[in-house]
Amino acid sequence: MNPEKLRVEHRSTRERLEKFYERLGAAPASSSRSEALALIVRVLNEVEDEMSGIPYNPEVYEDRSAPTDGRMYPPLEDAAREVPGHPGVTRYRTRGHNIFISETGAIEIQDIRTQDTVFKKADSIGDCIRKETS
Amino acid sequence: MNAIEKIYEDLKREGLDARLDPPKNPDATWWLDIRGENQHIEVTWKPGRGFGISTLGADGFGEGADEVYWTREELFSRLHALLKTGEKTTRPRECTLGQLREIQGLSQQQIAARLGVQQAAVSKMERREDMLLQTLRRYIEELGGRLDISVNLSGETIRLVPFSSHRSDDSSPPAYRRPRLPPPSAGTSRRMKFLEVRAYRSPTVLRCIEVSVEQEGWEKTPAEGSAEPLLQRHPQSILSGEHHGLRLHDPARCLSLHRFLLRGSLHSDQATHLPRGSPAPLVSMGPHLAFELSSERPHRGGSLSPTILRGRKAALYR
Repeated sequence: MNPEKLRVEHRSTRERLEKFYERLGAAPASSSRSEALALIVRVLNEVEDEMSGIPYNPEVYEDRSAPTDGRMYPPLEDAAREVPGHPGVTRYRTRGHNIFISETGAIEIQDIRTQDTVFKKADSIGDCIRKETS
Repeated sequence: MNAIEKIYEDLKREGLDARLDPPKNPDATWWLDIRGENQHIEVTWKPGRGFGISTLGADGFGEGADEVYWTREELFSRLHALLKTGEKTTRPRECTLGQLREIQGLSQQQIAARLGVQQAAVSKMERREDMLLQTLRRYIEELGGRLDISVNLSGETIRLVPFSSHRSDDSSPPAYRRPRLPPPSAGTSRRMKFLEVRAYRSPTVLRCIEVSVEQEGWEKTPAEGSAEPLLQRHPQSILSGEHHGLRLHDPARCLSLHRFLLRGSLHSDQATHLPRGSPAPLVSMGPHLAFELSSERPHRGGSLSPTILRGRKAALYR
């Protein structure tokens, strides 16, 4: 096996988060909520595998009240919450962010601290999430 | 009402800006957001688990909690402290052996030289998921740290003494940093025949040091003695106390025995002569005292070329 392929870059959280948004934005649009969530899970895990140097720990993944190991984890299905007034949108709570996913696969990520939308991706027919963030 | 709901109610009663973010499934993770002045604190909780606390910063996404508390009292105490001081929560630091080595600015070759193994063995060691504790302990100590193993049991952190570098009754300073010295350069000869260092200590401080050296050109130092008599009997030696260390130098022979890294304070003026060989060693000295012998010899070009010899043979007595 080529050791170069095994080499892990150790990037800062900020760099990895930027890379995550970049790759998520470049990925093909999703056409359903489950497809969009699977895309987020895949892209974030790929970025962390390549750049964090921190192995995936299912214990932290499944319990966000467990101590952080420094790795970023995608939202769990049971982190889903309803969005009042927007039955077609599901909110996934994760550390520092709300991830909104529409039934048609559009994605919007909100920074909880600033309430700013930090990432937007349209669904496969080009529609973005229409909601009022609160 | 579950634990996090009660906490939310209490925070609201205190007039804090708190917002509960319950999951659809009550067995999933609950979030509680508390806003202070220029601060946003997230509390996470799952039934049967501790309370995670994190202050939110500009980056990060989906990580676990920075700090975990197991009782309501601990949680409130920490929350109030964070809100009062505006400080950030502290992330537990974790890294691999290789990253630790890089933090210390050492290459695999350098650590291999210190351990007396090949670089490939260090590379293998750093990739292993399991190893002997003594191997790990030695690696950590060669980095200048110490190995501590703790168990988290019912919210209490308990240090597991037999596996840690130092005993819990050891009141010496918590850690020492080994100076970074170059590894022996290629082609240098290891001419040291035998070197033994013994340090005696009272229950709390090192009281007496005994150094014996058999080396080409060296006289054997007293079999028993404190640092002070050693200096008196060998006036050519320059003995200077460093912090947790001393230096012996024999300028006539361009040899210096230096950097005794003693954990604990060396009080040569209070040194007590202890009979050789008794009582039995309390702790294997390995991690407690490291020594390096530097032999400076005229180089071909006339300049001095240091040769670093390392060894570790010592015993600590009560």
